Amino acid sequence: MTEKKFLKELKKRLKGLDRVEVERSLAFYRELIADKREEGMTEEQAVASCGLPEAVAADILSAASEERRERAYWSAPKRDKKESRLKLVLLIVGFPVWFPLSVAAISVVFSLAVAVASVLLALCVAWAAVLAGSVIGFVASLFSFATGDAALGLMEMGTSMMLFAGTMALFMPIKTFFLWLFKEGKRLWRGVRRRV
Amino acid sequence: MDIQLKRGILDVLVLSTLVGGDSYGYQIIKDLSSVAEISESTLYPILKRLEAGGFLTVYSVEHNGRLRKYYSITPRGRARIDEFLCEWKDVVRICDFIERSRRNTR
Repeated sequence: MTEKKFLKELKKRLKGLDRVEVERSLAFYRELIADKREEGMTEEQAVASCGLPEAVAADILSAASEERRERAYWSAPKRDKKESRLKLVLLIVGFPVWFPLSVAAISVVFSLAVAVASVLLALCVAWAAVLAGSVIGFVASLFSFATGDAALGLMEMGTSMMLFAGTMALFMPIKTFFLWLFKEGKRLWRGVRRRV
Repeated sequence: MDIQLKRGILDVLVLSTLVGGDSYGYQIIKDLSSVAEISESTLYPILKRLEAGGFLTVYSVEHNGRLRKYYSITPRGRARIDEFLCEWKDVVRICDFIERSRRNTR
């Protein structure tokens, strides 16, 4: 095993320890391997003589948990109870403050969501209206031609075709935008649900 | 061997390698290899514990373009060794007593 691989494996298995501690452990082994190689061992031999990264990590973790247990034995239990009682008291005393604040926060988020949704809905309605207008204009132009008013008919037909072209040009961007919105919304919803 | 007992012995054993002068990780392992099989992963927690307890101090020295950590025994560390040797006399006395009582009952 190379030194790099050994240190990487070790680091991976030390997850959960605080960063300074992980860095100290890695530095200790980095130094050992360098010293062994300086004395003539190959990289492979130097790494192998340190033991498997799994075993090394297990030793470090068990020493750390032993230390924690010893510290917890002397200090933790009493404070724990007091702390939770303090939290409960704060929760009750603070009710008139945190309750209206959280209601206000929820309403702000809700109204923002409604506002965004209405803007989007309005856009869709406008798009559909323009499309409908172009179809109606086209039909109207046929009537105008039939009644002999060619100038009016031409104007109506030209306008309706322009409107139609516009809606068709906008169709793809709107569709992709909505698909994207749908996908992101789903992801956001899933994220919120996982956290709650 | 009882874990607590072994831990105490190994702590003092590692401290004893520093009495003659400051030393570094690999040197300590080599010094001890003739007395006890101390692996790299046993040494690390011992050094950490001794440092936390104020029995030794650590400093870095540049060596071949890298840093090497040296360990230095404190007065408290030396006192710990003396204390251990005294305690050990008690342990030996207790062992003698245990041995004698076994012989007598047989």
